[in-house]
Amino acid sequence: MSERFPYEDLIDDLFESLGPIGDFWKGLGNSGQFFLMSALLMVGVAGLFIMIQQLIVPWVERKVMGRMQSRRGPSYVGYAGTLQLLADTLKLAVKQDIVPEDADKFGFTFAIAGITISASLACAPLPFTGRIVMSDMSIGLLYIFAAFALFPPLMFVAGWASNSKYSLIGGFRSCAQLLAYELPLMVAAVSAVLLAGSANLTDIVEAQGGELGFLWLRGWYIWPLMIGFWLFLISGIAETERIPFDIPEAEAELVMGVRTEFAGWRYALIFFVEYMHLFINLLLVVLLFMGGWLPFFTFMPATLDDFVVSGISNIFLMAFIGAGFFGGSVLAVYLLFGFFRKRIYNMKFFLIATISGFVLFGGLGMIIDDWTIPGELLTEIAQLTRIFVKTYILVFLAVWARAALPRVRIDQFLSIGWSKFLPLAIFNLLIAIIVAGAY
Amino acid sequence: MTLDYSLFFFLLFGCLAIIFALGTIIAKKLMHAVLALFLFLISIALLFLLLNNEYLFVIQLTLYCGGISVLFLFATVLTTNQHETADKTNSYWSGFIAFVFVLALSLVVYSIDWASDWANYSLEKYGDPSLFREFSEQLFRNYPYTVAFLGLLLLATLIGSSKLALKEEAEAA
Repeated sequence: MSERFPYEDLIDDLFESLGPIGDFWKGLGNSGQFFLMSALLMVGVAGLFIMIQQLIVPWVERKVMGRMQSRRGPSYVGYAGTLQLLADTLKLAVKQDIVPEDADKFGFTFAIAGITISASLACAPLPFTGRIVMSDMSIGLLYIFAAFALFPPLMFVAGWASNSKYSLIGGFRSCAQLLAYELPLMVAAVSAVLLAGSANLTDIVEAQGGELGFLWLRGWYIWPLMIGFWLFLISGIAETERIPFDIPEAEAELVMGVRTEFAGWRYALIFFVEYMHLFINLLLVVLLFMGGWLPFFTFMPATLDDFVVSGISNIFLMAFIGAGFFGGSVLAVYLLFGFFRKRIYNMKFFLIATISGFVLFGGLGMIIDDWTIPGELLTEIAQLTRIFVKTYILVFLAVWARAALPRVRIDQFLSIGWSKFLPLAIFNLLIAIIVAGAY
Repeated sequence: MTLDYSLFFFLLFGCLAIIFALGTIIAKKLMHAVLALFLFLISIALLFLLLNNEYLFVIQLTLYCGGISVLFLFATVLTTNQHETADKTNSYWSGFIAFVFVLALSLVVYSIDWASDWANYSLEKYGDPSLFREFSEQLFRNYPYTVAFLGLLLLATLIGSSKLALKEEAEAA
């Protein structure tokens, strides 16, 4: 009998010791067990990945903004303030839960729960590599838009239920803004769907793997659909109500907009959802227009072949993978901040990370004697790193916009959305139709 | 009959849909009625998902839950007498009329031949591009008058509501 999944005997024993759950496990049969295990693994890996991003993105934002405003940003908790967000979350979670006396109790809780649930559901069809995806559904892109389409009514209910004039006006503005920028966002996304001939995100990325026919570039959709890329990026940032577009919470006019009356864990959740929304929108830009996990040039391979390594070569290979992974990620982060300080900031930490990665993974290579996976593992790591780097370049752009640009007025903003962005998005769709017809 | 998971979820979402639909009518606050309507639309979307029709599920979420309910919310907040309760004197008559309507609707649902070809399209032929063509052929060849009648009804509703709004405006002035 072929192996269903790694360590199946161990897992079988584990479930048998659990009594009724063991019976349920046996009743599933081989395919059912495999399905359950792979689903749990995917949700675990990809869900954890997204959750961790929600701690990294705000930290990157605060650090970069700090550098742009000639200050240090968070620096006390953890190394260079990396654990600041964890500490903040903990603080907000244990704070007193205040519900205003005249607030609508049902709406107040329902809105927060609904916003959080819909944002979490939107993560399901997002692929991180060719294989790490929670649910590889055929209409993944439309599904994400459907999940985010629940935002306007929920934001409105949150504003209404708070029973505060600032919240209510914030809710109105939030709703108007989300509706105005949802349409250009969707039409810009549809142009990529048209070129790929599929609404599945994995298919869309794979369809960008061909040659452009110019300078060994890959046929990313950013080249034919440059307008769509900018429209999607700007509308995506506008949808998250961040500073150049934070009309719903303009603090000089509306205190904090919809968020005014939310305290403690409710505030933490609404904050979390804001960053999740930003991260998902930027990840969608990468997947739709920037080739997802595909490398920049065609002479760089997108996947690596499997190969068997054993004995001494395995140790070195693993050590190099580990050193590259640890050191590379640390170097990327420090280059980003070193850019503002005119020199690479604290090379010591990069060296320590590289050496510890070398030792750690080398040790792993010693334990695992003979391994055929490294080819696949290397592919996964390389794809994950590429998608990571691309997304964080866009995060950097979003933070830059936040630090550098003043807020626009609501009437200007809505008229830009309806009278400029929507026609441009339709023009972009026209380009997509012509390009799709030409090939 | 074994309670497999699709039946379980069908019963769950169906019950939720009925509860929220009732909530839309019964809720004392106008805003709660709109919230119940929003949840009702979501449970209908989940029923579409249960029928393996992901596309309809997504459209229902995007257009109805995202678009139409915002329309209702805006209209509700902009009404001046939000907290006024309805006149109670007509409740017996309206209850009787509602009962008759429910009875008629149940008869219509009962009279449909669920074993016929077109009733099973969504379950068996999903993914077949001819599905929508055949469906629209059914709709516009076999029942063209029904469609036309529904269109007329919608038009009448639209004109009637604008007429009412104009009348109110004239009275206010």
